Amino acid sequence: MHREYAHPPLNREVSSIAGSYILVREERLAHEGRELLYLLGYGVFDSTCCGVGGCAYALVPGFVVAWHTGERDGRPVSRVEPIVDESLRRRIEAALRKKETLSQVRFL
Amino acid sequence: MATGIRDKVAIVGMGCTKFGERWDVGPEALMVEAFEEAVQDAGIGKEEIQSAWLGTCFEDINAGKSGLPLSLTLRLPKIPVTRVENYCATGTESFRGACYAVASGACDIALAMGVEKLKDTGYGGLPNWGSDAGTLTWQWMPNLTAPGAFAQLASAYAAKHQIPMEDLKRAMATVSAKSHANAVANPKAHLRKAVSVDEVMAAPIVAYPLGLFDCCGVSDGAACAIVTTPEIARGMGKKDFVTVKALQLALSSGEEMGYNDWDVDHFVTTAKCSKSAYDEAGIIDPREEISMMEVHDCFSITELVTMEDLHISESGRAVRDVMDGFYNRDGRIPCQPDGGLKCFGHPIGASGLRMLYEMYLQLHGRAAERQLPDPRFGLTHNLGGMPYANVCCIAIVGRYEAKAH
Repeated sequence: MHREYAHPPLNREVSSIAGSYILVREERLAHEGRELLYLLGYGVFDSTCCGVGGCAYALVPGFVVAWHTGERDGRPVSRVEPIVDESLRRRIEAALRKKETLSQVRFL
Repeated sequence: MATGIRDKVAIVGMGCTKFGERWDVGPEALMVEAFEEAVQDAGIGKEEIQSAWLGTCFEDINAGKSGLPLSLTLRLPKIPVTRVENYCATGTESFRGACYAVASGACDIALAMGVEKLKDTGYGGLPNWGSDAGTLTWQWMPNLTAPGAFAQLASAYAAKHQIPMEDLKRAMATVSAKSHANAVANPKAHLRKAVSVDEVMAAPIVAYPLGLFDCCGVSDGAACAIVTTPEIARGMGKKDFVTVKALQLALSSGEEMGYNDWDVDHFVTTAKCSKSAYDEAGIIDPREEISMMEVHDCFSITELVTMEDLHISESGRAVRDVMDGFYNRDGRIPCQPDGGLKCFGHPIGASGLRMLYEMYLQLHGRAAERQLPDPRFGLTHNLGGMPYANVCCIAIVGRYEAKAH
């Protein structure tokens, strides 16, 4: 199953009442013969009712099917194949943890 | 035989501060700010107030213990003032005290104040409860965190109703985005900024599946209400006043936590409390009769599950209602028309009264850009504690002449 993915703007702080996050890099990584799209970001939870914390994290929209096929609200759109298989998710997470310094890997 | 509180208490004045990082003021100044608006609205002098209730939760780092912080700050004329605390239901608990005093005939005019000042503590988040949590809590749940407990609720809800987690996450993101959109039109909200569902979905996780935008924040604020009887309200020249239709409280008995009957998928207290409130208000079909709501959205999943425990969405169908826009500002029952905890934050003592303030403005047609068309009954809901043991408080208010069904 493929879907359209609108690339978010980088280096723009997105704030909530509980903290903020910022996506700083977009990467394409060769993985198991395909091209994986992921983004790196940092989050700070500095005013939540939950407590205080923060992390570096990766967002994984999926494997790239077609790069920058269009535009939505001024953002480029690509066609991706989301990662749904659990074992594949684990292998990708391991690869990203080896390559990057992060504490969360989220699959979109 | 108890007859309930329906139409026995009129709200004749309300006030609410701007919520936010109020570095420039202390809890006393916040109370004055809310009070000045309320007495002006009511058209009375403070010497006419005969009893008062103060709701504040973290008294040690905030306003202080007892009713004195209120009586001293407002220079109340040596009247009964009682401080109350009931977790996140503290603000509405203060309101309940004032309403019951008036309804019982113990006094003619009463004040309910809620305040919390959490931004000058020197650390983020809420204070550690420590021994304030009681002697058993840390033995029962030694590694307890609020996001962890509510994340378990989200997972259990998804499992029970066989909802794919990505669908639930998108519904929770829609809940948050809706509240943010509403708060843009509210000058008293802490955070006035629209966010897209995609931006919410791209946030880091606090406790899976709850992300940054699924969690509310701390804030500073105060809100208050002045209540009296309908007869006195009329005597004051008030014509289209708002009355209390129901005011109910339900606390966990320990059964959720101690036995296996509960699936961690809903709030047992809210399900019971809402039925009691509808009975008291004479409401038979809340999905048809409630016009608007402010519910406790400490986490997005709390709001979503609460829709079902209020018997407005069918069990397991809140996701569908959320995605259909049923709770949007232009939907059938707008929820969090003021922006909710997501955009006001949660100064605990003030939150319940802040919710009632929005219902009050809406019923009077004074909500400016946020005004909803012809609301009849507004419901507020607070949930203090954790899914397995909590305090639920529900109020229903409406115009005096408005009758259910």
